Amino acid sequence: MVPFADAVVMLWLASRVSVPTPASTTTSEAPLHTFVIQKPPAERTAEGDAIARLARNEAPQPARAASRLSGIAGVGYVQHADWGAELLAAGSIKGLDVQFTGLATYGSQGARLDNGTLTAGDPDRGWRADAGDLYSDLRGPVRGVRVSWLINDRWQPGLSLDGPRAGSLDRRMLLVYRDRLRLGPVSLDGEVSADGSSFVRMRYTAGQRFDVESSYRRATSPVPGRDAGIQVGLRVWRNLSLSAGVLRSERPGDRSEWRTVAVHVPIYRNFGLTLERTFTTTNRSTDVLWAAMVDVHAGSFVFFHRYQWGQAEFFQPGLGTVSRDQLQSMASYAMGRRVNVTLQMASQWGAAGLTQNWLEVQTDVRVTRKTSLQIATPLPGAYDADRIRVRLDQGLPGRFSLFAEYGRPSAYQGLADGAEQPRFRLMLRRSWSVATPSRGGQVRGLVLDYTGRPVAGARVRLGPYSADSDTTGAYVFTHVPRGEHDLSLDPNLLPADYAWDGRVRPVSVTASTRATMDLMVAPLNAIHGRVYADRNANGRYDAGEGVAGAVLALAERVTATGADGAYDFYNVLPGAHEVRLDAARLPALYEISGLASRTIELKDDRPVTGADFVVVAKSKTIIWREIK
Amino acid sequence: MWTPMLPTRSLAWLGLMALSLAPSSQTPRPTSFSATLTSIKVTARPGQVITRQFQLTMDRDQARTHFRARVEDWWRSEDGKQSFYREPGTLRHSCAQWASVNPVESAVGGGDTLTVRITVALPVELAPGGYWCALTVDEVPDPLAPGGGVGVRFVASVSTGIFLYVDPVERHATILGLRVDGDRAVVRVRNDGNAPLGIEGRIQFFVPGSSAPAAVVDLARATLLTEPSLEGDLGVALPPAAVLPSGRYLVRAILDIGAANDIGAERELVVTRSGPANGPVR
Repeated sequence: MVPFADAVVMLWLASRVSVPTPASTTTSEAPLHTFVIQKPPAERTAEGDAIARLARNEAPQPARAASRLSGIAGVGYVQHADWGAELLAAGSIKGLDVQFTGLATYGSQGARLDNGTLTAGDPDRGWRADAGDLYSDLRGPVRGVRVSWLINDRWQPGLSLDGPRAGSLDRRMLLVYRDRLRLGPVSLDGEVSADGSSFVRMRYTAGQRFDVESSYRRATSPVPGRDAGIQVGLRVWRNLSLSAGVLRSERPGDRSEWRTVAVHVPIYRNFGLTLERTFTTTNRSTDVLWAAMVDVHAGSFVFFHRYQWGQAEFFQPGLGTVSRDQLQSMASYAMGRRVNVTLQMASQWGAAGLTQNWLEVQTDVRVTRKTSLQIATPLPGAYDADRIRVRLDQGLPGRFSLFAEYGRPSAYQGLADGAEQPRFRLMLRRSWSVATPSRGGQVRGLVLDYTGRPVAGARVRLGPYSADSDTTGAYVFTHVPRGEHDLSLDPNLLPADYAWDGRVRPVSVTASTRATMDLMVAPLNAIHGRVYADRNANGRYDAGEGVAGAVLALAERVTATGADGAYDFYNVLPGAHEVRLDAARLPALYEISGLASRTIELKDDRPVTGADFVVVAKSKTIIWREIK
Repeated sequence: MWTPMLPTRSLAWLGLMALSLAPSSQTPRPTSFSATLTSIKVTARPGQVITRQFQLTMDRDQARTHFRARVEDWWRSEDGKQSFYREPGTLRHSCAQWASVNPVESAVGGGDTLTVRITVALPVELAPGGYWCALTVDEVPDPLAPGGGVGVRFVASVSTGIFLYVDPVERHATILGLRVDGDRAVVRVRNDGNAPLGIEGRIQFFVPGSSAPAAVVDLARATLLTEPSLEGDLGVALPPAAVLPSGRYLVRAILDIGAANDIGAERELVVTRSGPANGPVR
């Protein structure tokens, strides 16, 4: 027997069917052997799978009953220091927006949470809670717990319990009231803490042309002081803009005032020039600085250059006046989509000449789709082990990735042998995503026709979601995310016997929405009739009396009678309709007897039959003439 | 010319030529359009209401044309060469009597698209298996066109198959025969399941004793219904005589009937070549 070249498993069935050979140019008495070939799973995609695929494409798209929480988890090692574990997560659980970032370490100072923030918010109910590393406008970085409520779209008060972060000198735990108010283009933020310190900030934005921000801060402890400032930006024409600012600070024994004004002038397309003057006065010195900045964006090439010069006059006798010049340059060039090179340079001159010179080249290379490499090296001295930084990110199978770094990483516990030493760090990371229970609104209702009868199989759409009405006309959307959605019927998938007026209904959905909204459609029906010549004058149609080719009109619709004189208008809305028989297009042998039009009252629930028109054969006088 | 969008795997055809009254001075150009020709295949539940669309787009240079849509019963002859259309309900497994269309009659201008909604409302009491019918869109004479005279008029007609599958669907078939008729190889198949089968396959010709086929020809996709006949012939032209000369061959047919398993049959046959043939050869 010949082996099968393309069969994986062959199962012989015991059937050996003899088939009579039909009359042909060949004859054969050889028996017919039949068999079954089991397909590999990948090949089981013919008829059944094609239908299933079509069904999936044409199936309604309900809102997802599950949300997702996604993120990255990693375990790392730092040379000479400690182990660390990091976790980043963002997503939704039961309608709550959740975010978490955290880094825990174990090292010379034992186990501790180096940094971390957990945020949970309910966008439907308007509250939000933050815990961990927070930022206070009064005290800067703090570690604590914060709760706020969005009373309406404009007002969001909140309470915080702020404590110190690791290493902070201010070890107090304070209760802080925070408030945020939006009044059109004006927004106000404020904080008042239990020790009497306060902060207020006002922002005003007039489109993209004008903005102003002012703030006032008063601290009572641990160091009393006051800050007040205002900053104004004005876009004069296209990218020509002006900005100015004043900031005044007072501390015991220390007072300073900083004033600046700048103008940005677009020179040509992606080439701009900024001129800036800054005047700083403290109780020890007066500092005047001029700066000129040039920025160029030309395709994959970006160039930024800042040169500033000025002098500082010290009030303390003997120090006098010191002038200084500083140049900062940055050039970046992207070589295709895989390589980007950035050159950064900073030079500073004083009275004694060059006082500082710093040059670094950073190269980012996307080696493969899963491998990226970053090297930052000083020039000269590209191989200086104290200054070089190398970072490698390698994607691995199974959503794992390996992150390796040499240089001066941050966010880990201090090194026993010096925090500034370069070190090697290795992290194994894995991205993950898990399904979480979702929460959402519910919109349900019925699809009905004008008579109240349910309409089954209508495709109802609610924003991006869809559902089909069942045999009772009922539809339901559950787990609908918060937002404004349009409720409508899909006119392309509305059963053929109905028409919809296309009226879309807006629905505002929140997690607590339980809305019931019915949708109405108009039932369509048909008008049937005949055009006939009542030859036997019995007042009704009889076989053979139909008139073919008669033209009838219903509004803009036109049809013609068939061979038996019958006509039909299908898919007609309920109501009164005028059906007209076109006298001008009647076959030449006939003329209308009676009315040329009829008003038909079409009910909601049944077609009209017998909308007939009667015509008569034209009678012509016969004139006999004798032929001579 | 009539241009199918998806000419394969579809139940579609054109070319009803009809004699009708038309101006005798000239013969009008045939109507040209493109249409959705993919069969509508749905797995449905008893009591379900399903709506799908059929689209027909007139070519830009076409005059306004009238069309009339209808749903009717459909089947093919056992040799697959002829199609038959009858009133809804002629077949026991017809879905035509449950169908409605909108619009039934419509006029379409050049470049415009006619979209016909077809809705099938399945009865609540329905036995498992396959049900089918055809949506046919016929060109009909414009009622407002001037008449008079006698001429030849070509009118277009396009049909699309509608197949409904109610679970559990059984896809089984038996190969009853394998023969060579002149320059054609023919496989006779019986549908043993409860639903129409879309059948594809190939026929291999082996020189006895050889493991590699001397020639392979593909069978065009065909549909085998469950009534009025369970049986049908799937035929294909033989390869050229240079590839498959006269002689005795082990002929093997392998058919994909859309089930988990393919079915096959083989027998020795004598092939006698009388002239050149042009079947596709792999």
